[in-house]
Amino acid sequence: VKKVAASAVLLASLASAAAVRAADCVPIAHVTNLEGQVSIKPAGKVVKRSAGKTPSPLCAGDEIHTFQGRALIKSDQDQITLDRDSVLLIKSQEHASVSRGKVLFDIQKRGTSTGLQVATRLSVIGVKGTSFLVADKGSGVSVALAEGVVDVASTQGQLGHYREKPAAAKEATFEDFKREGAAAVDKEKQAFAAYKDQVQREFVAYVENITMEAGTELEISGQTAVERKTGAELGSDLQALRTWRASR
Amino acid sequence: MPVELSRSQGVRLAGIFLGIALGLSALFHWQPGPTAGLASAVSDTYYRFNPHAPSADVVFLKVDHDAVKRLGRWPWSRDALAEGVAKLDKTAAVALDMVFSEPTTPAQDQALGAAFGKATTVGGIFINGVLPSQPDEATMNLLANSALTDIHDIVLGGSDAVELSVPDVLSGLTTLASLNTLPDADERFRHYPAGFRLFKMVQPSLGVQTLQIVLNTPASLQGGTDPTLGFGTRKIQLDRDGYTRLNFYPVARFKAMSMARLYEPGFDPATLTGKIVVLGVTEAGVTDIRATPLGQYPGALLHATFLANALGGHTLSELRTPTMGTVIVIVLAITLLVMLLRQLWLRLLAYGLLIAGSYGAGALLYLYAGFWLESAFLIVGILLTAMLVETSLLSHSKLHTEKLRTAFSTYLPPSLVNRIVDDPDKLKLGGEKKVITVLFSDIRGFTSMSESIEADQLATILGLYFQPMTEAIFKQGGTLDKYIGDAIMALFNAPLDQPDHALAACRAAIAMQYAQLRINEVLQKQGLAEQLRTGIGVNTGQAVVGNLGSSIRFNYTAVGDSVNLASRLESSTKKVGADIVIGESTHALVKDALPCRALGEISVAGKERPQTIYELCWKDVPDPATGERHKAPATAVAG
Repeated sequence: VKKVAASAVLLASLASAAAVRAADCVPIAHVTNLEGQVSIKPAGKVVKRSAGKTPSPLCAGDEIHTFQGRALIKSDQDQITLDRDSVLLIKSQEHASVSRGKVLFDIQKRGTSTGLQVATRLSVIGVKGTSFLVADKGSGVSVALAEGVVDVASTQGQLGHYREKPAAAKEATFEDFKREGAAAVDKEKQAFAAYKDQVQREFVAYVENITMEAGTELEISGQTAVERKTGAELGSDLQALRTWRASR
Repeated sequence: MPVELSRSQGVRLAGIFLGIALGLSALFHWQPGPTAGLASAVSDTYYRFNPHAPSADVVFLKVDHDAVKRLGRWPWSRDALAEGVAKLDKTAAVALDMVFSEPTTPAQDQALGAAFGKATTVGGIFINGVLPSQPDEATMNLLANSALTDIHDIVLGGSDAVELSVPDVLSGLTTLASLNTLPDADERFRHYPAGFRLFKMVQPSLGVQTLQIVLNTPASLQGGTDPTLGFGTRKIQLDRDGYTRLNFYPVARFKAMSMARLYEPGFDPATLTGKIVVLGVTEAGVTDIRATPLGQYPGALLHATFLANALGGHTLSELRTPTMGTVIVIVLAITLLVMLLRQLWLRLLAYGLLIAGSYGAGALLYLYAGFWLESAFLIVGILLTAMLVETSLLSHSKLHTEKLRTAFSTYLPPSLVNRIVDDPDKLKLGGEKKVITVLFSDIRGFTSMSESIEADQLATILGLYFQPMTEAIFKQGGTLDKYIGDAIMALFNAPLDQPDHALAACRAAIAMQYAQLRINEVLQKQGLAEQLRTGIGVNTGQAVVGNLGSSIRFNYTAVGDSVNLASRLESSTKKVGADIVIGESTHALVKDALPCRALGEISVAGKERPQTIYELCWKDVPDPATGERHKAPATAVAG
């Protein structure tokens, strides 16, 4: 009888611990879908826990790590899709930060608020309703904007802002790429590499803020920011994440 | 001997110097096995000076002889082990240097898992271990939760095979960590890995994972030119393979406890409150014993050493190649300066001091700055540079000797040249004011004779004449200054000191007159010329002697009034009807030894009063060369 009672006490304390954890914070988003290993590092902790069964609640300050997995996060207004080997910190409903990998943001227009700010190693992206991909490639950070308008602010002081235009008449753009279809990916990648060699880089200005337009990408590395039509590489990343999300 | 290297010597020296510096830097960068072993043989001794003790918060809980005596042979049954582990629930963290990869009964495995679950327990995995298993979904999740993600540009070793504890034990573990360690090229353990790649994730080492939990700060790995392992602002230097150098403490300084204590009836788990427990096996026959610079070390203590280094601020930073290369160049340049020391013993002392200084600097940097300097590279560099310096000094002095020999062999008898070469300090080159005796000789009426005979005949006559005349001078230790047409100029008391220079010059003059007689006999036999007569002037006085001339051509000679006077005395021989005329000062020095006759006075430029000149009556003196007396009575020839 004693043993059973002890177990009951233990179970009760475990349950209450879970309750405390749930009551510890107000979830501001949930991992609604995932594949592979997805870990969550709770705010202020070192040891990560598995996202486990979806929907898995996320609190302010939680970090989501995907290894060979992918994760879809939803809040009231936004959808955030993490590619493999990515790290996203959700600071609050208005602030997120990408420190690793590729993350696709689909942000609903917010009424009166200032919108969502996405911090990267090199920049802060301010958005009010748009769809864009953030990719930290180690050497630099790229932003590809699919829809809407975003404002990219440097956290590294002034950037040399360049705009690339193809020297060849035909532009291999993301729109072209979409028409080509998946079968032509390899061919297109080669063509894109060749195309990239032909572009002309034109200096615009030294700025701390760059406003991007839909269908363009911005590549920041060091003190340079290069703006161009969204190319095949980021275009395919963006498309892949959208396809994965749609399949869920 | 002053060291003045020629341009080509300097270039060669600089080339070899740079070769040594670059070669050592390259060896330092790549450290092939034998090099690393040799370098470590020197630097490993630094650890003996380690004044620190590991943090008392790190407790080495060991399955030792006492524990085995109490609970039987290791491995123990898992419920027995669980009984002890359950008493670790008050600790800050438990780091397990063990993997439970083989299942026993589910009840026992679960009991152990549950016991681990009472504390924050970091479990071990062996990457590329002997019993690899395919992790299930839950284990993959645990591995993902254990992995580091704040990683940039770092190269780490890895594998896709892993030895794990059985799932029932894993379920009680807070997180996992790699137990792998790798020895240096000489099979000694000195470096601790930050982590390894496994299934495209980075698993931290046991020490790194435990430190994350204890500090409640996630670790970051930054690669590039200055790889570091960071815990917030705390930075630990890594080498380019992601390892950090451990700062070893003597084993006895660790706070250690036998596992047997946990089973004693009165043991209070509260005594371990807040401690970081590293659990490992030391019992002989079971344990992993690792060779370290401080001797045999239980493997678990490598993890404990890393933890204590990080917690106590005793981590080490090794000098990277650019810094080390600079240090090598500076130290070798200083060694090269030793060349300026003239005495061999001073140079040897300087080399010794530089070697001791390099080792001492390494030890001091280790003790006071946490920098690791491989002083063996400096010591080898100093030795090589010392060899370079000594060989170039040797070849330089050889060259110098050759120069001396060729410079003097034309005007000095070979025995004197040897004396100069043997002891160059006796020779003073360059101008020097000195009292010397100068001898001038000239064939009387030679100029008019040279017009009347054929050129080749003249050359033959001069050849027959100069040889015995020069020998006569050399025999008396004189220096042949030069031939001027048919005239000879010789110096005594230069360049080497010759105390009886006046007498020697006079003896040479006498010998020359006897030689003249023999030359005349030869000439007569060959029917070459009429009888020759030689007038000789000898004078003693101060003159400037040395290598005089221009850079294009210079000559060892003497200049001064006394030299001019000697020439004047020689010119006067015909007028006064004497064969050898000597000046006043020479006369004063030889009058007691040789028969002389006053000839009167002549006035000399540069002298206020006229000079008395003397005839040296050579026919009254036997030939200094052969000892023969003159055949005719002196008076018969005089006039």
